[in-house]
Amino acid sequence: MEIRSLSVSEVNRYIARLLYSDPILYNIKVQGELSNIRYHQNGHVFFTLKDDTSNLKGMMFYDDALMLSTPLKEGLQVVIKGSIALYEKNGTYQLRATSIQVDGLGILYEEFIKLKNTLEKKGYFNDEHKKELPFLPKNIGVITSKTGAAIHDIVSIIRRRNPGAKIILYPALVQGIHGSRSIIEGIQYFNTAYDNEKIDVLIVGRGGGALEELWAFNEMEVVEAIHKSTIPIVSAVGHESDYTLSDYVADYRAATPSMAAEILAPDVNELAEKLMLKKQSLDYFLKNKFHEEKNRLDFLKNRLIFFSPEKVINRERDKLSYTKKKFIKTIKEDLKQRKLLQNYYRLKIITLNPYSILSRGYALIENEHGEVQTKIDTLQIEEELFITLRNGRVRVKITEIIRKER
Amino acid sequence: MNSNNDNNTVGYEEIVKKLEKVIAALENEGLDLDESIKLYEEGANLYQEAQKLLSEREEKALEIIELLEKTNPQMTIEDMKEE
Repeated sequence: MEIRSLSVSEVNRYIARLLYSDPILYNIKVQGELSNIRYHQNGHVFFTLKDDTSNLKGMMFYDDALMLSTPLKEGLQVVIKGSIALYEKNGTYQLRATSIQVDGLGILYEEFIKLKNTLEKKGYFNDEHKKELPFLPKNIGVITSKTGAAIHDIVSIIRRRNPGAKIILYPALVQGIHGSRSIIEGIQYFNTAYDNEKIDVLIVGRGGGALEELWAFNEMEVVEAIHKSTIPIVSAVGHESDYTLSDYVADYRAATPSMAAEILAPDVNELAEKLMLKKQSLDYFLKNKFHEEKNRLDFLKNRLIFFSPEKVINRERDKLSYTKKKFIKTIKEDLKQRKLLQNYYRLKIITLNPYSILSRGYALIENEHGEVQTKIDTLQIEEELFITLRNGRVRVKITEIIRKER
Repeated sequence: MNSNNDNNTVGYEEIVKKLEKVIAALENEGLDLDESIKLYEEGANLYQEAQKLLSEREEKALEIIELLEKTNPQMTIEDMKEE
């Protein structure tokens, strides 16, 4: 019996059908290490899965790759779900992956630490690169998934606290192999393309997830894009405990998307109240200042008025009249003194007047020359003397001189 | 407020300082009547000038306060909500 010869494509199609109908190969899970990962421009991903002794070529179609939550890394241990199928054009079989699960995160974490150290050394995380966040920003750009919890939280918080702020969403894929690309495009979009109204600040982030789901925020390219952004960026990835390289490089790290919204949208009512208090103290300060100045002027006025010509002249007049009184008093005093003295002299004169003695029985004896005689020594018998009495004189002759015994 | 020399803010403080000097001179130096009347006149002029400037400033301040009064922060929020 002769065997019919088949064309190459007939053989390949036959084998393809065989593989397709095999219950094991049609729906298979393969465990191995990823290597030789290539992204084709049409979006399909090609790779080789290997273990210690053997290799298996594999690929993933664009649509499935979009759904990947895990970044594909060389050396990553994965479990791939899919089917074994023939690539008819080459006659080679390959693993067509529909999903890829990471088997152990050790390698991702290692890479995270390595990249973090490199960036730290390059100074990417230094404070001098941190831009100041605007106070009360009007236009807030948000780069996150349009369906996630993050955008919902951000919008509701900002709407409530600062209704005046405008939120512009750049819907991005925030996980999977295209996540990083999408985030970068968002940052570039706000920095360059979006120019009809200035964006004050960006929130880049997503809600919580497993380490591999947040991986896009650890990609070097995303870190670069955040680093280069001229618009300040708040990184808000996952939960409080999730740290990504985006958090380190961003101008501000918010623990969660909600926190980012709260930081960028201060409660306007609260601000208004604070402002009110400030205004009140300003009013008070102003009024008080004027009150103070008025008191100061009043005080100066009172001191000045003391020297008004009227008062000064009155004081001079008082001084004059005081001087007058003092003068009069001095004169009076002087007169009084003089009168007293006069009286004294008068009395003295009275007492010393020899004639006054005559009335008390004494007599004044003079010789013929009118010389008052007080002793007998110069007197002689027969000498004539004049005796003056109270009311007249007599002429006598000495008949005897009697010396007084001792 | 200290030593600005543009028209509107010239020296309220300067004038008050001068006034204080004049008064100190009146109080401390044994001036004769003529000298003290001359100084008093200078002081009275300075006082009036200071009083005038203070009133002007106060008027202006009250205007500003009134202006602030009109911008009610509550209203602003409502305005924003309507946007």
